[in-house]
Amino acid sequence: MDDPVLKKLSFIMGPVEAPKFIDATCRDLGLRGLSGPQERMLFGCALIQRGGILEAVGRAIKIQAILHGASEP
Amino acid sequence: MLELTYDYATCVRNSEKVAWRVDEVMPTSARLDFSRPFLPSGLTGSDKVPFLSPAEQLLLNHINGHAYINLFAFVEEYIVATAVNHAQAEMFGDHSAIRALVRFAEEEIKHQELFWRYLAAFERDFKHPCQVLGSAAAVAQVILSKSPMAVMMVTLHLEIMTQAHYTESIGPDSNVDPLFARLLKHHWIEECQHAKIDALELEKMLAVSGPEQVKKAFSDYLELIDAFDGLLDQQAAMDCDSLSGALARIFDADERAQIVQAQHQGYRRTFLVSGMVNKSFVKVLKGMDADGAASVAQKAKSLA
Repeated sequence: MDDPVLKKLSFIMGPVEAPKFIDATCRDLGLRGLSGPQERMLFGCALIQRGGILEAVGRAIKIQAILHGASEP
Repeated sequence: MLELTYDYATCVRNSEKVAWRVDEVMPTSARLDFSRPFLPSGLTGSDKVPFLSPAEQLLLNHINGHAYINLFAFVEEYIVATAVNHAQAEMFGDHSAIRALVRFAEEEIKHQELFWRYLAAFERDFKHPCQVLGSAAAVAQVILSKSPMAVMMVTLHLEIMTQAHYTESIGPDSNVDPLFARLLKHHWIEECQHAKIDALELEKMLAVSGPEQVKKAFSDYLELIDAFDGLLDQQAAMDCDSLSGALARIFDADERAQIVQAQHQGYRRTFLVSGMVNKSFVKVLKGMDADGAASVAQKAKSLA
C-alpha cells in the first residue's frame, strides 16, 4: 500500500471503508484523485475541518503533503 | 535513489543499544580541565595565530570550545522541530518511522540539555564572559523557511560530520580535556543513528519529487551554507572580543584580522567543509543528483 493517504485512513477505518471514504471526499472537493502532494494537501485540510480523529489524520496528511512539496492553499 | 541498507526499526534497535543519560556523560559535579585544550587542532583556528603565546592560544581554544558547544545547542533547536514534523507526517501510517523519529527528537532535546549543562559549567569556571550567537529561534526560522528536502540535507550534513569531530578528538596524540572528548563521543554515537534516519527521510521525499524539486533543494542547501558561514564569521569576531576581554588586552587591527580569520577558517572547516566532503554525505548527494553533488563539492573547495 504505497498511497500514504489510503494507508492512514485504512489504519483508522479499515481497508474496505477507506477507499470509499477517499472517493466520496474527493468527489465533494472536486478532485480527480490524490496522486500529487497538492491534492493531498487539499484533502488533508478538508479532513481537519471535520474534527475528531479525522482532524488528527488530516493534520498528518497535510504535513506529509508539505514535506512532499505542497504549499498552503 | 539512495540504495540504503538499513530501515527505521534497525535505527531504533541500534539507538536502544547505545542510549545514555545526561548524568552519566556529564554529572552536575563535573569539572572542565582548563589546563588542556577542549578542541583538537583539526577543529579549531586557535593554534593558527602565531603572535599569540601558547597560553593565549589555549585560552582561545577554550573560548572556541564554548562556542562550538553553543553552536550545536543552537542548531539542535531546528532539528527537534524538523524531527517532530516528520514524525507527525507519519502518524497513522508507518509506526516504525514514528518511533524512530520521536526517539530522534527526544535524543536531540537530551543533547541540548547536555550542551546547556556543559555551557553552565564553562561559564561557572572560566571566569570571563564569552560572547556567543544568541537567537536560535531566528536561525531555526531561516532554515525552516527553505524546502523540506534542503532542511533534511542540512540536518544530514550536521549529523554525519559529528563522527569526524569525535575521531579527530581521540587521536593517539590528542591531549584534549577528557570530558570534552567524552561529550563528542556520546554526541556522535546517537547522531550516527540520526544521520541514517535523515537519509531514510530524504529517500522518501526523493521518491515523490521531480528533478525541479531536487534542483531547488540543492540551491536552498547552498544558500543555507552561505547563511551559516555568515553566522560563523560573526562568531569568529565574538571570539576575538571574548579573548580580548579575558586577556584585558586590546588587539590592533592587524592582530584582530588574524584572529578573526583563523577562527572563521577553523569554524568553516569544522561545521561546513567537514560535512560537505564527508564520504557518506557525498554518496547520498550523488544518489540524489550528480550535478547537485558536483556543485556542493565545488562550494566545499571554495570554503576550504
